[in-house]
Amino acid sequence: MKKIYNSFKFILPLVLLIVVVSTSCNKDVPAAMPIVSIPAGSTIGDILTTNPNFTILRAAVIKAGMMDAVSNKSNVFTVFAPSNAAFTASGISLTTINALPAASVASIVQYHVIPGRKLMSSAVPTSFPNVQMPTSFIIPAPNTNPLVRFSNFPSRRGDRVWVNNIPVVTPDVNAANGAIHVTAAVVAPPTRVLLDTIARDGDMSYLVAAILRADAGAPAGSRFQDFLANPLANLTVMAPTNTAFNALFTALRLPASPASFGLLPVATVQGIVAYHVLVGRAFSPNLPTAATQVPTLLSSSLPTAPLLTVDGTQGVRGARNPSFSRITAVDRHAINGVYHKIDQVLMPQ
Amino acid sequence: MKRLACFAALLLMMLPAIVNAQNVVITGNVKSASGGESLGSVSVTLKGNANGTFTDSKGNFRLSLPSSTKFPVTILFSSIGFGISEVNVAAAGEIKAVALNPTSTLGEEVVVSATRTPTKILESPVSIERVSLAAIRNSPSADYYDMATNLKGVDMVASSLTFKTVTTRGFAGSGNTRFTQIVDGMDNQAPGLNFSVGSIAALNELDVESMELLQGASSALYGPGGMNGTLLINSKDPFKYQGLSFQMKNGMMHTDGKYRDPAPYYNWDVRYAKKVSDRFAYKFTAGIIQAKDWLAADSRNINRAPGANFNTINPGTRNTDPNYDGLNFYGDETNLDLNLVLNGIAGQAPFLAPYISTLTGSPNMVSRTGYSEREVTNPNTINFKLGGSLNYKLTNSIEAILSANWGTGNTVYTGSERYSILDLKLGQYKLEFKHKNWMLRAYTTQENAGQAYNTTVTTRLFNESWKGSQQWFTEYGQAFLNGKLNGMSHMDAHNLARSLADIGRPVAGTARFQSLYDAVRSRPISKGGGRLIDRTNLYAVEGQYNLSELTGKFAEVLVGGNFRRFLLNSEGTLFADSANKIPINEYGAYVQVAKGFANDLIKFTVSGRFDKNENFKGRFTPRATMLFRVAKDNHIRFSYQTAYRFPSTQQQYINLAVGGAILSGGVPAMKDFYKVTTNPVYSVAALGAGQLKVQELPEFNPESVTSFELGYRGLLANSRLLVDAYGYIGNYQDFITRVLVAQSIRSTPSPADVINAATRRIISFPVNSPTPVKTSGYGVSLEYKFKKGFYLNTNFSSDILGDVPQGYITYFNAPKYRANATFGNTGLGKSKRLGFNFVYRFQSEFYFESDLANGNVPSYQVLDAQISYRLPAVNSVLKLGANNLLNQYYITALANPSIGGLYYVSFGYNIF
Repeated sequence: MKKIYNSFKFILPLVLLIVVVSTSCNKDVPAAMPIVSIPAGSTIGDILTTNPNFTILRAAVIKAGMMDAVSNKSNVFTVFAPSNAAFTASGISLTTINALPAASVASIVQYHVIPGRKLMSSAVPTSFPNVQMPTSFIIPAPNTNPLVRFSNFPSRRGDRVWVNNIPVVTPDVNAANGAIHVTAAVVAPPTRVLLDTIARDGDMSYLVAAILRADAGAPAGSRFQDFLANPLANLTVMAPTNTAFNALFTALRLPASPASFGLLPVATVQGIVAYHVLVGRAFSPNLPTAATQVPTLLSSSLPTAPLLTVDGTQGVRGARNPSFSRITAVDRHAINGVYHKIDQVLMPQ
Repeated sequence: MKRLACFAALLLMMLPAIVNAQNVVITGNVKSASGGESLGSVSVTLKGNANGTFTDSKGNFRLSLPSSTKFPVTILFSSIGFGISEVNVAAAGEIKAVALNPTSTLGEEVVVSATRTPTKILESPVSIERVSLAAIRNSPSADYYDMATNLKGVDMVASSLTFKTVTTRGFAGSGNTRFTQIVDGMDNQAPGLNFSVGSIAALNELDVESMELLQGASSALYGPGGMNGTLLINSKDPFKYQGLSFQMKNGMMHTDGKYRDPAPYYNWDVRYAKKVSDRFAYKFTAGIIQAKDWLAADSRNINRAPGANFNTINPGTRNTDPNYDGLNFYGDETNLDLNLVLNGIAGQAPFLAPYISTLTGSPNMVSRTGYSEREVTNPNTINFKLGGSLNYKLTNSIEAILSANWGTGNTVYTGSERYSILDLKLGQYKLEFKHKNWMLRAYTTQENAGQAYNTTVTTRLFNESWKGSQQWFTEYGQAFLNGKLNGMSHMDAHNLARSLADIGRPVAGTARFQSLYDAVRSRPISKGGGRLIDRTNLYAVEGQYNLSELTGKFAEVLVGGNFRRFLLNSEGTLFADSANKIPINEYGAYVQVAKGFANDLIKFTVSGRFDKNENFKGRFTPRATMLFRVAKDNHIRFSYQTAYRFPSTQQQYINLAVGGAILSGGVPAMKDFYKVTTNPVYSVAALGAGQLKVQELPEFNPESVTSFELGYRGLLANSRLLVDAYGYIGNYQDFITRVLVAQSIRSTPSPADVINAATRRIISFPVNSPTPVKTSGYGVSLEYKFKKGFYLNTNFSSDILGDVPQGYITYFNAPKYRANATFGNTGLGKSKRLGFNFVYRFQSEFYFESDLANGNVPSYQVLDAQISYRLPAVNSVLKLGANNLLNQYYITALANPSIGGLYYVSFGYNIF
């Protein structure tokens, strides 16, 4: 035994050394490293809660059930945020919000929100017509597709930004989970489609008659009415008033009555109606500042069709019109489009 | 024991006894003077006469002498590890027991491979390492093959428990084709799969007599290949090593349950050899290994986007990178720019188009959800080996040997992707005639890839089989958009989309998963599955003649030659051989002249070798060595060596569509097959940069290396210290790499076709890199024998890559430093029955490059240990062994498994 001990005494330090060296750990394969990007700073929810200018909006957001969503750092939103002054300007007070049904408040709030994107003002295009952005407001039943949303329509001229026709007074309030653009007024969501809205406008009864005449004989589904009633459409109608149509009838030596459309060939009326409709939504702040030629619905079916000339100050002018039609009322907004009233009928030929 | 004797007797009866016709017989028994146990395999010869015999496993010998023998005679007894003993014998008959004293001398070992003639290792003119029988016996390694790792300058890449690839001087990787492995004279590279199968289908441990490892270029003697070295494994002669031996290692792996649940390890070997007469002997070996394999579970994210960081490790997990591609995750290689789907939605829903366009400003790469290696392969190791030989001495000096080694089993291999090798069968069969002055051998390697499949390809196709990618990505895109419209951040929307697109994804381990997976993996790659079919064979003949008896006074002269024929047979699944098997012929011849001057104070050896492969120009590889004796047992060596290798069979004739590209061979026949002269191919790299540039495909050449080496080996400190040191420089040329090209698939090709994915195909051709690569390195080892039988062997080595252009991938893959230390004793205690051995190994961190991934392999250190106790009464030894004693996981290469501790108890009977 002693001999063995003697032998081991001899080697023990060495073995110990080896063990000590070996116990400094090997690096096993490290685990995959997650990409962590928790954004820093206040959330949209934090800003709404702490900024005294947003007390009404905050109450509305809470009532709409969206406070958790806009306070969550892993969400992203762009919020067009009416300040207290904006609510007041739009005639809405805290009391109004408290009194409204939650669903109504929710639809108003949701209409101010672009989900999933942080859209800084610099990214808002200056193009004509306005860019279409889906909001958090899903078009209600019978629609079942969650991708089908009410849209709002930001636009930019230089460094000035609008959403629909509402000016943004303070753009680009940076939040950890998005951006806030403070608006001058509440951006009211539309409630009806264009056809319905026009039909309810007493100044538009000739236009409605023109649409009915243009649709005579056309199969269901391809009529102007269908188009103007489709919530997914996105149109701008340069809508001549009854007075404007009467002026046309007078010039054509026809009776000043909506019934006179029946005396015109259907194709002629179709052409006239189509010449008043632009594809895409153009709110008045986004109308070109200098005369610009734009295509109409007529160009969609007839590529050689003449274009319309649009000028934000002078109005619109058809190819055969001797002068510009003045825009007499702007930004009548519907779910699927906007119309501006004009004082002359636009003539393609 | 009785049973074993019965078994032995039964085996005996199966062979006819050959009657011996000599008349004078001396019999006796040899024992160890220290332990008293019988000594087998002791050489017994008449002094002054080479003919003799060996003791059997019980120490008995029977020496037959011609009747003309005049007594008294002197008989010599010798065995490695024991001194030579001379005994005077007065008359025929039984003599009294002979006792041999153990000695411990260094540098006595004889190596054959350095010059193809037996040479004392001290006098080897090139760097060589030898693993002796005694070393194998005392090693803690569960698998003898692992012992090569403890030699200086050796790198080992472990793709799995039984798939290990050794190399020296850099360029390590699984299935290394620059390092040759030769088992009993047979090259054991699988001829179609192109990896050496040393640890799968070679000898079992009980039949290994020695391993010799030549570092550096060795083509001059062993033919094409061996650019970086050659490992030779030699089996035991049944005339010398007789009797029944068996060894049972039963162990445990995964003891900490980190990667897999604790599981047993079995490694059982048996060998039986019988000298039936002085003319005839035979042996039979069998072995089985069964275990749960080490698991490759590297979850790190690989960047597959072409560019400067291609194939490197990036941050990102499945939940934080939509395009995550885990290293040991499969199926997630399939990816798509989600913008294609989103733009499709925008086209159908114009009211969302402006919004979608804000999401698609830059590519949104999304990968499908992969499965981990554990989920898809659950690698279970099984390895079964059979072997044997019949040895017959036609005359006193000519021996005929008929031998066979056959192996089958499951393992895992890392190539450009991970391969699960199921039911691989590999057999090597040889007929050899051996004379003291010449040898002639013919052998064949018969390969069958069995059910081997590519894990990556299979899992990707498996994903297609449960839900096609078009549907999966469409569902994903819609769900992603939905998530965005609910205000989700990008990553949350991606994760929501993934969870929805993955509805119906089979869960690993379920019957549904297994039946779908099995269907894909058993279908050949050429038929839209993941399976490799390969029954490629090799036929080889080689011979050598030592003319020294004729030229002895002038110089020692050796001549030899060989012929090889590969027969590619993959039924069109791997090679371009759907119509016919493809033959490839190679031949070569060599001559070596050795001459000593000034009483062998300086010895020169010059060798030259010429090889020709039918697909390549002939090559001459010279070698010159000089050995200078500075003192007795102290030599300085200098060598100039050249080596090269013909491209592997796959680099010649592969024709395999994988992952969007066709891998093509580089021989002219393949270029003709793709009509590259009439339908030009364009550089994909240039296309990526927006240029249309015809890719030239110059003549495809073998790669080559020249190396210079200076070394010293000598005995110092009263012959207790053996020192070996070397330094080398290597220059590599014509490295074989691959280049991606695009080619039109239309009948009337036009250059514009290659821009459009629908009218082109992508082909990968092997080409020679014009960039030369320089390497250098050094190594030193010290072996010291202490008193009382303690020994300490240490070594240190380094390999360094010279400057290469920025971003140039060399696959050098060698740590800058490695060190090994072995400390042990084989005879401790009063009766010298106790033995132990500690082996410590270290290597530094290095940057690993492969077709699969590039990244750091961390430095690691491993401690192996064994304690053994001999039971001479029953001729057995008990061993308690541990590989990676401290169970500290390490990897040897990227995408390879984490290797942990393996602990075993072994019982060995008649281990010589």
